[in-house]
Amino acid sequence: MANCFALIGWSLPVIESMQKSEKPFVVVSFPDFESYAKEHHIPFVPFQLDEWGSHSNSLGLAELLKPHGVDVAVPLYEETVEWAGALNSFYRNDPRVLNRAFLFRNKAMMKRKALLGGLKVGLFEEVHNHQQVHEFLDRLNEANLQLPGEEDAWIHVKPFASAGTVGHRFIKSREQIDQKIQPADFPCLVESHLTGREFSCEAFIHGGKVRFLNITEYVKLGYSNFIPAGPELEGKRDLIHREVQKLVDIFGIEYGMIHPEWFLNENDVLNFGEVACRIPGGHILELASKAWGFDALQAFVLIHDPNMSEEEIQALFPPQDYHPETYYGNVMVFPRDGQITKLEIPEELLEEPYFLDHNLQQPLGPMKIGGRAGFGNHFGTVNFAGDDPKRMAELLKHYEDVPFYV
Amino acid sequence: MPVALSDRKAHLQQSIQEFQDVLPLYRDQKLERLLGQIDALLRLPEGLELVYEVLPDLLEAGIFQQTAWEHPAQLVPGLVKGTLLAGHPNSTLEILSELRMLALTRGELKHKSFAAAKARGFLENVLVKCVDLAFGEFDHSFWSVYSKGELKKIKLLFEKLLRDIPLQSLRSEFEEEVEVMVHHRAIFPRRLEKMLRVADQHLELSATRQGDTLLRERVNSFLRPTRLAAESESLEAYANALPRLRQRSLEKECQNMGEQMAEDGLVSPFHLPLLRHVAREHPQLVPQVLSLDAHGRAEYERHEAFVRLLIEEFLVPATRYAIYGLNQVMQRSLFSRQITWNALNRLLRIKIHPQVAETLEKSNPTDHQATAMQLLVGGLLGVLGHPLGVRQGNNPTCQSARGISMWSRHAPGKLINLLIDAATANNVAFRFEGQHIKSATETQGLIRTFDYQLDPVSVVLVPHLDKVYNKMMTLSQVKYPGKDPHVIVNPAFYGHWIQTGFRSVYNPVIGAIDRYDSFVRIFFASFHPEYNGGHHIIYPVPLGIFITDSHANMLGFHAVSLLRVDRDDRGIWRAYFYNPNSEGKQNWGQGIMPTVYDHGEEPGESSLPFYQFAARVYAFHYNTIRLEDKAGKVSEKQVRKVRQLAQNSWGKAYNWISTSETA
Repeated sequence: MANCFALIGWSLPVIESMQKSEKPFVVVSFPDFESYAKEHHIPFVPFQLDEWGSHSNSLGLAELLKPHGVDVAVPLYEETVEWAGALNSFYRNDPRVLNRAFLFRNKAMMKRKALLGGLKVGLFEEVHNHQQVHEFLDRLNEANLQLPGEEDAWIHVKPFASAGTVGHRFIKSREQIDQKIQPADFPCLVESHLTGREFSCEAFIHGGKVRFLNITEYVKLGYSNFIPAGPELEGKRDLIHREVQKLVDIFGIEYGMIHPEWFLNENDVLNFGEVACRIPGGHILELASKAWGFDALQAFVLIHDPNMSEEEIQALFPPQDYHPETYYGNVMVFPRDGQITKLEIPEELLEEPYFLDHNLQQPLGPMKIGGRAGFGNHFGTVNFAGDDPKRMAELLKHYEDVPFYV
Repeated sequence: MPVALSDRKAHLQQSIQEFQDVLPLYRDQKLERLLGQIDALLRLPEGLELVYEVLPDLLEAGIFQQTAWEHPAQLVPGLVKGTLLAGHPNSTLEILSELRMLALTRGELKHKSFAAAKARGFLENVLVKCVDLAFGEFDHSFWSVYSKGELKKIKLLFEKLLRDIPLQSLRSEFEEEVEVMVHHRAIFPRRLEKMLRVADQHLELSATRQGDTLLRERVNSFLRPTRLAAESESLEAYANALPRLRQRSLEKECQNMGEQMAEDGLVSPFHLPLLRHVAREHPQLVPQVLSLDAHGRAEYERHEAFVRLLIEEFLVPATRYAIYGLNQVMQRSLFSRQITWNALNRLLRIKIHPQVAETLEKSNPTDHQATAMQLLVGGLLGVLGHPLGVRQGNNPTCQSARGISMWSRHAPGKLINLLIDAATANNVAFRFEGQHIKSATETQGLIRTFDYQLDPVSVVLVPHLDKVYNKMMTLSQVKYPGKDPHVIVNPAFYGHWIQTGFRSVYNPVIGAIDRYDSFVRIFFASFHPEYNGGHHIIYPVPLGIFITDSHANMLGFHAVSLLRVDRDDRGIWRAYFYNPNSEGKQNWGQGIMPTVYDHGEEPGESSLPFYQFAARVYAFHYNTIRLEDKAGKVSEKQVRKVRQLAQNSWGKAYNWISTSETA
């Protein structure tokens, strides 16, 4: 069992789970959080996580953590993955752990690694300016044997290192290249559109083996999802498990949790989208905890510990043959663009047996809404639970379109 | 597919359990979701009952911990209405708080320091303060700013409360509240009229109880002001009966009607058809039906045609309340002031900006149609006639209300001029330190959700004034860091009536209460006739006061105007002041309870013994030239009395560094 976990970043639900687990831990985060941590008796090491140089580096951080006896580092969000990787390289005496962390932080490198290992990925390229995106589209159209007058292929532009859908631009025609991509977006990754139904997994890995696999069904990426996935996706569990294990082998991941996104097409082929190794957005681990009846956040932290015994690992997760009967889902509420003045909960929601609760609040006053970035700025979540995955999917789809703020 | 109650209950109990088990760290997030669930339940009658049923568990789980609702003894009935209308989660917590009071009242819950009788008293007070919510139909357009579901929650709550605390048992509180409102006298007394109608329909008043008699008089004066009105089945029947009256009877009818209005400031719905009939057919009777005094009669003789035009064109059922305003305007001889005359005549010819027109129509307090122009002119008569009836409603805009009230008293021309700009251009411009501030280009004010339940002049002006005031405050804070921005903003905002001296109890540089004794001395020496050489105040004095609750705990800041200092008929020196919030009677703790009648107050005034008032003031303007050495002559005993009240109330929220050093 680990001596002490260093949680890099900030997440109240995770800290709460760790307090409940009574396992030793210390939180490493920005000095701004220190007074809060002190007030709530959270072991804390202040550190400027967004600075890196001769005065602020992982050697120094490792020194600061020594008094706490830290021997496992856990990244809580996207920007702390390298810090955790660097620390774990020391603790495991394996420099490649850090290199692996870089894999998660550079989407082009990630794709190359996946391609080398034999996962199915789209066509992709690193680009530095608008001209290169046009040339990429030329080559893609050419490969698709485009005839004059036919529509352009769809492409996606993504920053190398951002969480979820932050900075993600979906380009459906040539004109949009210049309209949608800003000069500040470069350099970035450009890739062909993958078809199929998108979903994510949360795979808990120990000793290089997937020990527990959750499949999350996306009703709409970034708006709604539910757990466990419906019978169509769960029916492909073995296939998905094999592909995830393949990904783990190719990347050489030994400990931790990964959150890959896939596209399953009609021929049962899984296209690899991308993968992260931090806590996924959309309250996915909370839904997983509810549905599977285990503490997914605690498991997320503890599975990083190389010294866990087999019994300890098994105790973390639901039994092998267990399959939940209740589906837990949520809709993230984003106000529509334009002026909003009040929160109006639709009456039909109150009569809905699947409705659990919400955390929406009356806006302080009229406000103008325009645009959204990633999963970050939703106004709140509406939670549902029920026995029928079909109905769950319909409900979530329905409530994505209901204006809660008017 | 309806949801089984048992399922809801099981789920609610599970959520309460989860909330109870959560470690302090993650409590807020769990609380949000628990409240979100309760919010949904409170919108259904069976849901409300379910929440009431599990209330002991919710309290046990600590749902009120670390919230403003934690201690029942610190709650203020007068604030309930605003919170109920503030939307989820505030409204949800507020409803839970009322349910707790109900459970305490019924003895189903016990609280170590809050007895059942206290809880009952609290709820009675809430019911009286929230008559418009408790008996509201919510069908008027100004309710549309609130979400339907929220209004449903409020309606269900009051239905439940009234089942346990029937209105009949609140008679005394009801009567008291009506008296307070009659004397505190808002321009459009919407809530008072609602209360009188509710009293008429839902209360049985005994013939012998003294309070009942008075309340019955008020109700009759409003709904059955004359015998003819009482006998008429409808307003229409009354109007039809008027032409058949003999001259003597008509004169009597006019006289009675006018006297009723003069008595309590209430304009009965029957007043309008009578006034319109008389203005058309018997113009010589207008002074009687308006109950004009000698000044008013002279004004009528001089401006008869104009007054009849106002009545014909602008006094309609939606502006009925302006009849009282017209009476007061004429008794102030405002039509005979050249500036007001010009400004008024200009106003009657403007073209109202479409957006302003829409706002005016939306805020029409009645169910009767009226044009934007009729609403605006009616509103202006109300404000000019009764400046102390301007209210801020549910808006944090005491400054703007104070400005409108003061200009109406001392610079009606300026007020109408501003109103013309706002109504025609949807914009007002102010000069400030060499630059111009235009409200139309400012985006930020203090108002979040504007409460339209105000008089039409405030509806048009306040959103502009609020932005201008806010801009001035921001500019001052940047330009003069470490200085109280009110010193600079008040004269720029209100005008030259603001005196050049300024004192605040607070020293922002050291962050403490500083030189309090000299503050008190200057306050007495400037305004108290026994110390200032026996003079009355010339202009109203805008001042900042600390608002404290009934336990004298600091609640916040508020803006009022000191109007005059006088002895009441018991010989006590009192401060008479204008308070733009809608509450007349209040309890500020330490026995400090502002009154609105029976202590020499004019309609619309609040008053307190002078030293008690002084003990709540935190900033004021005064005349430095006339102060001379008067401050030194205020006795130490007097100062100590005020200081002790201050230190034991709002003063507990501050550091004090020195009290004794003189100015």
